[in-house]
Amino acid sequence: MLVSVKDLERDITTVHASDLISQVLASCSRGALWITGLLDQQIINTAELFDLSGVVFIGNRRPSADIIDTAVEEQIPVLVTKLSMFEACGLLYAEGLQPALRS
Amino acid sequence: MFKKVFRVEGGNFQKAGSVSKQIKKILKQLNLDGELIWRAMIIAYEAEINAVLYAHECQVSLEITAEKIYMRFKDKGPGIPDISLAMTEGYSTATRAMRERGFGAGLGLPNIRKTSDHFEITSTVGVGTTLDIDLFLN
Ligand SMILES: Nc1ncnc2c1ncn2[C@@H]1O[C@H](COP(=O)(O)OP(=O)(O)OP(=O)(O)O)[C@@H](O)[C@H]1O
Ligand SMILES: [Mg+2]
Repeated sequence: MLVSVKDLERDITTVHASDLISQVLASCSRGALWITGLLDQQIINTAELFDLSGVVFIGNRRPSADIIDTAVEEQIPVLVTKLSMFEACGLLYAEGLQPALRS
Repeated sequence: MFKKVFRVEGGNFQKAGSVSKQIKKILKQLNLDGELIWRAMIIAYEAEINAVLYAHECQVSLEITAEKIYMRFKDKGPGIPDISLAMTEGYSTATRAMRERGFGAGLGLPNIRKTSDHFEITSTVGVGTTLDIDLFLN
């Protein structure tokens, strides 16, 4: 975990995995966790605007200081993992997390 | 009634999303429903990003009354030659550089239409594109 927030007590039940921002907005509900390989500051801005619970960057790449600063400012939890997209999704799916679908 | 006008600079990725963020702050201060704000953000963000990606500049007008949130995005830019094609899910002219930033799924305009209570798009090639959107409060 790279960026923590004040109230980290949030229950996450849904996940969305995508590198395309519009895809998230078209199919994702509020409160979801976002898994992405796209290391961009825009991801954090988007997560804040759309009330997402947090962002997971896959592939063990370290986000830039800009990304981290934005996440701290916006209070968006950021996690990094060595796992690939496939593995990260599989693990969370096996733990019972559900796809974030827009109603 | 609340009224405010914003400007979006075409090509400025550093500021992309900042107008949407300002609008979100205003809607939150007015204590509007979270789900409604979320829908307004989908519209504002997709329209703002399109202006950054494709237009030279864009004027965003926000009006809030007891009945609705009204947003108008009026840009100066290349315009859209075939609106029904642009409104098709998956259609995109985004460049490789834009796709590398996470844009170009071809879902923005269709999602704006789907999320709005009332949606109108007009465009003149070589002049610009205008979106008119209503979101009803109830
Ligand atoms: N304001 C605009 N001015 C000129 N062309 C536009 C404008 N907005 C959209 N377009 C054209 O319409 C196409 C479809 O737009 P849309 O927002 O649906 O998808 P996109 O921007 O390509 O990808 P996404 O929004 O999913 O990231 C764009 O690729 C572009 O060619
Ligand atoms: Mg778009």
